[in-house]
Amino acid sequence: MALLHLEILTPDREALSAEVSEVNLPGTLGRLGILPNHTALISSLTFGPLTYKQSGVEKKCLCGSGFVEVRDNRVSVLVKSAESDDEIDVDRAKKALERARSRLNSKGPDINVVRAELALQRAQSRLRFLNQL
Amino acid sequence: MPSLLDIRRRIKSVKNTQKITKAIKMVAASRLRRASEMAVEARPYVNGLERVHNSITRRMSEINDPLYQSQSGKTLLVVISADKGLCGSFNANVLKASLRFIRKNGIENTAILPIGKKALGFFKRSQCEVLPGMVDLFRNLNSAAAEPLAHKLTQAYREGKFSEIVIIYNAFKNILVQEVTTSRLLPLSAEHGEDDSSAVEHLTEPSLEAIISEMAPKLIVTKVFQALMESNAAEQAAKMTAMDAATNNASDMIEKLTLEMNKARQAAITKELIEIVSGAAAL
Repeated sequence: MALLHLEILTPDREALSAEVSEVNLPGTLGRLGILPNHTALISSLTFGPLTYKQSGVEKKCLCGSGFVEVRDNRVSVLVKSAESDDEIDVDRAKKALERARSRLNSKGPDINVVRAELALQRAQSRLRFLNQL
Repeated sequence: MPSLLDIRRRIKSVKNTQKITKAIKMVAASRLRRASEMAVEARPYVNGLERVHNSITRRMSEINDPLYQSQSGKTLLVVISADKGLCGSFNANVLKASLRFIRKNGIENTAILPIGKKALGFFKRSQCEVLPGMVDLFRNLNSAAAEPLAHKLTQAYREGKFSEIVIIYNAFKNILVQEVTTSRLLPLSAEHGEDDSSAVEHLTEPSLEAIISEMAPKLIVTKVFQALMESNAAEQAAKMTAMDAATNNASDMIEKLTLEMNKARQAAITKELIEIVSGAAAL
């Protein structure tokens, strides 16, 4: 069976380049499953876990927001950040969660609620990704 | 003729200076390596983003996002200089080029956003409208560091404050050559090529418009990030060459001074000998 070439690119590095049989992505309108011989596709992605199957083994990685282009069995994921499970800092995520919560609860006038809520979501999905929540 | 002691003192001071220039050169060399590694790592992402952007804009006859519309107002010139000196004509070149730009564009039609301490100090004394600048971006340069600046520019453009935003910086050609580059950041231009055979009608999710308006700010971030990276690499290269030349000049100077010192010492010995001989002859 044909394989997909998956590459995860971030501004700071090429996070992954591998042959995979299946990719599952966090699209803005819902999750996207990509199998070999998928039609050409461009979609935006939200912050969330990306899973892929490499030689039968399921692996995952947490991606920031960005885009994906699928074309000729090539999946190019262009995202702000990409972390595999051993790269995520649990303490940092927990602290970020606390910070976002206290900021939302304080209800001060100089609080950017949208930003705080986004930070809260990010921290929660980081921890959920690691089953630490 | 300076005394022996004076020459010795000068040699010592030149040697100290040489030690410093040599150290700066070494540091610049290692920073340059890091900077160019970073540029190489970022390239696949940048190419990918541009490819997707072009393939989308090619399919849209017009784009309604404000970031693609031209508007009226002043031109905002973003001048990227270094935070430190000791890098040859690096800062002078970019500042001179921006002055030329201002003169051509008209001082009343231009606003400046200085990046780096050198540009900040330079434009503080000028008569143009100067926006609060940013310093200290280069020490820990990564894509996150470029974001606040890019957001500020995008925001200013969306509010309709400027007709265009132009960025001017030293581009890294090779270790010996830095080229002052002026490029337009905003409004973004859409690619309208028909002939490209590689164009594929991608399925898009959500709509083309939604993707474009999400992608445009990201494109600005990468463009700003790239300009900062280029400027950083160019600065380190300029510093390296300047400090290399300074080290060589110091070596030449030490050689010359050593020669002079030996001459002075010999003259002193000869004088003493003559004194002894003539003293003996007088007896």
